[in-house]
Amino acid sequence: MRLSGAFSKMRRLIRIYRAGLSRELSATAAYRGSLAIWMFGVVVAPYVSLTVWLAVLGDRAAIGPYGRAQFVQYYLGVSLVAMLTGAWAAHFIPEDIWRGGLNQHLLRPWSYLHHYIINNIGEKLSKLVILGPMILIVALGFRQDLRLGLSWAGALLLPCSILMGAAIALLINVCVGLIAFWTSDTTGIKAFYLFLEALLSGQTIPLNLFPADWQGPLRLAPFRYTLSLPVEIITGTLEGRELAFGLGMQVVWLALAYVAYRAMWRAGIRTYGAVGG
Amino acid sequence: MPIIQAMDLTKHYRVHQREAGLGAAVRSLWRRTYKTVDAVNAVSFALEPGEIVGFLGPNGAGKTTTLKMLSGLLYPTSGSAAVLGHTPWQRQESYLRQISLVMGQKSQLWFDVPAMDSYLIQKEIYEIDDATFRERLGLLSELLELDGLLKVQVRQLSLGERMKCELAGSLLHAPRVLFLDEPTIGLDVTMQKRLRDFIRAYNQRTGATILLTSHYMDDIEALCQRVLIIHHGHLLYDGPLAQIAQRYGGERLLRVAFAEAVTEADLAAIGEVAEWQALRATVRVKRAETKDRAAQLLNRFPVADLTIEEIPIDEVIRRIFQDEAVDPHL
Repeated sequence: MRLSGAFSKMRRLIRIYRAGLSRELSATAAYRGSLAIWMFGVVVAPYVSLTVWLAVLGDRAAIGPYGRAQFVQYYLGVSLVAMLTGAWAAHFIPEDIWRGGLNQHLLRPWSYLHHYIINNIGEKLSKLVILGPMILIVALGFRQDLRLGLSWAGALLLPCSILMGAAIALLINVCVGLIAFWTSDTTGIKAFYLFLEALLSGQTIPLNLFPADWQGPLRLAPFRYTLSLPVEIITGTLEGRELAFGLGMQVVWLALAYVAYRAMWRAGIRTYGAVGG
Repeated sequence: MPIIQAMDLTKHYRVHQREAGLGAAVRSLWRRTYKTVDAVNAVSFALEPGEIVGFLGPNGAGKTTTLKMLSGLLYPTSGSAAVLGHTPWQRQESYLRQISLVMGQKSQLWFDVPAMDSYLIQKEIYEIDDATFRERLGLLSELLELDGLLKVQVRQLSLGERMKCELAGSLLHAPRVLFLDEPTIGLDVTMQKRLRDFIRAYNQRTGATILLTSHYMDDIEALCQRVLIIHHGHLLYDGPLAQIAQRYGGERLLRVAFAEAVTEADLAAIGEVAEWQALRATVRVKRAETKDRAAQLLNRFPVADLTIEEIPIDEVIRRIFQDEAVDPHL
């Protein structure tokens, strides 16, 4: 009986996800032009970082563990993983809370978090179509430097790491957005979060190029686990215990982010003003 | 047994206040002033299954806040409520499956896609099987004349068309309790009437209980035999619409047609002359004096026809809202 109930819930979940994804794809299709431009930025930013690092590298063989091929692999990895683990809910949730858009979600027997998961997956599917060829073009430009450092173990664990990275990024994003329950302006908080994310996730500078004093905090902070870790797996710089530690930290941050989300949601919903209408 | 019951339902908001200007803006950086707004104060009422009840009040009276508490969007400051046996703000899945809240000024459909895409998600969320979905959508399409609208991006629909799609979307799961907050706001009179007819038909067909707020008395008069009047967060009246005039309309109207022209000055002796056109006039008299004043009219003037009427309900209600001295505990 309990098992059939669980199956029934799962079936419902799948059906809602299917309908939700279909709607998301229709919606993003309506804005495919702006999406392409946005995605162009996703490729361009790591490409700019890459060309800067290659210029700094000059005639030297390597900077730290990064030679020319490693930089190319790293930033191509960043392009791909940033798209797959990226989240943007923090930009929309405050609007939902302040303008009453949250009402429509609260009135339905359906989770607000699931809504953003569907939105996230839907947009990523659309982006893959646009971003894939862009990354391929950039990769072709650097084809002489491409070496696949991915091990067999890494290849097996990479999807899992990307999935957890995406979940952590989304949950942290949702938590940042939910701060809007208690304040009428989250711009500063969002900007600070984006600054930390850009700096500490490995998006701009590979984390192992940071000074030695930084390495401890970087290994503990959540940002590495939303982007850098999967990229490190792709570039093959993680093995054995380090890989296990990284994946273990992803599990820890995923659990912490979920607990924080639940706590903030429960507390926030009691203060919600349901403005509008 | 009531299907909706509110008991001393109260909602107070704490809002930040500050004067306009740069100095006040700077001061508010370290010293913020808050004010408590009493949106709803100890409101109690009950609705029986199948009733359509009008919820009246001026802007800011507490109508929408009450609806939001009853639909589970807001936690009350104090008091309790039971709708379909559930505490609304616990938002249990079994509760949310049986209610709907439609807000005329707020869209629940996704703007970037046709309404049908939103309906298909509703279908899965509420687990409506294909046959039932087709049947309900067919019925709603027929009643609301949705043909051709469901495949158009919601953002490209007119206000009236969007409102019809909103209503259909909120009824696909056949809610037993429907909260309607200004469903006809901003619509032209034809569309208002169509929606009114639809709401009545839906109530008769399904037996759903409906709590309706509207600024249009036509909506209330067409749909509700019973009304709740709320003002400054206090419930002023709970009873038949027809009795509002008797309770609060301290006056009556004598509508009279004359066989010969009569001057306005002569009529002033009977009561306050509300309208005058020589052969036709309306005189406002105190309720208790109606009989005597009518007799005086008949005796003193060449009356061809005389009718005694209650003050129009919208006027009575307008007066209630304007009258700050109304005893909230009446």
